[in-house]
Amino acid sequence: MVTTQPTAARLPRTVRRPGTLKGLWLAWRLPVGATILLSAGFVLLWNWAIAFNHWQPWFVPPPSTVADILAHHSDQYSLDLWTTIKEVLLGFLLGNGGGFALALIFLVSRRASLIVYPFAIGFQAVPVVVFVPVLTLILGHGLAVIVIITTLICFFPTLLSVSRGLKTISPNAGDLFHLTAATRWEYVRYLALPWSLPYLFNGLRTGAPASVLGAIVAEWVAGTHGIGIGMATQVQEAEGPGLLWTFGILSIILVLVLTAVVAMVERAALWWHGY
Amino acid sequence: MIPTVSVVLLLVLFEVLVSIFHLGRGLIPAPSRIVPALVHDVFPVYMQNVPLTLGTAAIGYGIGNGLAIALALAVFSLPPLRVLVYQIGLLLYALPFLAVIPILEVILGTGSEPRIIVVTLSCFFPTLTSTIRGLLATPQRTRVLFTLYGANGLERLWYMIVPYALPYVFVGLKLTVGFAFLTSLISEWIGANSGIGNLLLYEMFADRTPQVWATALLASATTGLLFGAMTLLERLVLPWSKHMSSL
Repeated sequence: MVTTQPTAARLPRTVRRPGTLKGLWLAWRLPVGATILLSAGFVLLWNWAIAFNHWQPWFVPPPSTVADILAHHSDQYSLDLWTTIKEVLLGFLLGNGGGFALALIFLVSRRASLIVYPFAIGFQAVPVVVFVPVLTLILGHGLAVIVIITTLICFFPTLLSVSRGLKTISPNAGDLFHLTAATRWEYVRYLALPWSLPYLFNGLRTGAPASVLGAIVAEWVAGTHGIGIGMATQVQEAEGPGLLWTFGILSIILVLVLTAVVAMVERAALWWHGY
Repeated sequence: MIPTVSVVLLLVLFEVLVSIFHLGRGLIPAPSRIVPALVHDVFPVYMQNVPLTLGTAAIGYGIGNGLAIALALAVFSLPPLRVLVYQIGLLLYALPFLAVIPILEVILGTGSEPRIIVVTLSCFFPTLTSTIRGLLATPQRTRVLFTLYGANGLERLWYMIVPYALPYVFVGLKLTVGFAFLTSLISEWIGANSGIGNLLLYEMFADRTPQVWATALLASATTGLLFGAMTLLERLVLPWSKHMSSL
């Protein structure tokens, strides 16, 4: 009875397999085009603003200074960049993985769902970032607080999105699994899991930018290294704002790269879901 | 029933673990220590600081949402731009504007201007994208009906497009009201010397643990109240939108 081709939550309009050049081009022309256009526009605006306001290089650095630091002075930011990447990736994987796993557990065990789900709903309304100072008092400055925050930021949207998605499993498909005497494991593996993937990616897409922003903001209070710390300390530096702007650009690049990776994995994993 | 019981049980468990077994080395205060700190100590200071944070949030919220709705309407009347602006809006929505507030403070100073800009941006893109979606949400059947009855452009806009779009506008308004307050609060972690964000850090550096907990809880309650107020407003303005609450 086992089908490896999962039932799509929506029937695909046009199924374009990944890997064909045309499929890639169609999938990527808009986001890539928009990113290139916006980046070019941003650099132009940046140059124009400097010329228009007569900003001195010690006040606002020209794009060339930042490009020079990015290309030739990676020692000035690599430790901070690497720390933030670690925090974001750890929190992103723990939070989304945990949320996804718990949603599947709720599906299997109605009791667990009854006891834990109300807490999940309640906690989801709590702005976790406000509790960074609280966590810092408990755990001290360092990686732990920031990873906990990024984890929580990713956890609840994914848990709720996947839980809601699992509620939409078509009764017909469920009946089919019962009629063919599928075990509970088979039900989860071959129906619930593929069914929930689009909802998982919903959570991942929300979590990608939010986890980067959450990590940077949490670093301001609880960090020892990181892009956020780099920016916060560079405000007072006298040697020029080049590095400050470099950290700002890095934070934007980090968001764009993580978002693009999530979108790419989504297209590869969900080619059957109507792209 | 079960939710209430489990919340009460959790609070009791928390109290017992902390007060009787001294879990958390005094860093996790028992509810019985947080409540007095909240009432006697934190609440008056919170009320002193909340106008600044809330004021910044309100100005940014107003400008951001106003601009977003205006731009969405403008884009809606120029069909070729709809998809482009929607895509660009989604992309910019993801950018960490709040994270670059140190840069804005270097240029604009540490007053409220950079904070208002960041709050404005945090409200602008969510409402822009959801309003564009709402303006495009009129069902085909309704559009055909209006054409059949010979409705003119203004009638279509007022009796068809706006009623269908308003629930989506409120999705943006409800989502961003919490964003606005939190963005305003978090922006005060860098370079501010008053406001709720500053209060939180001040108490953290003074090691006043129950006070930090109480302030964080009050800030959470504030976002909850703001969201509740916008939900109430939606109920009043759009009594028919209850069945669309799943948006």
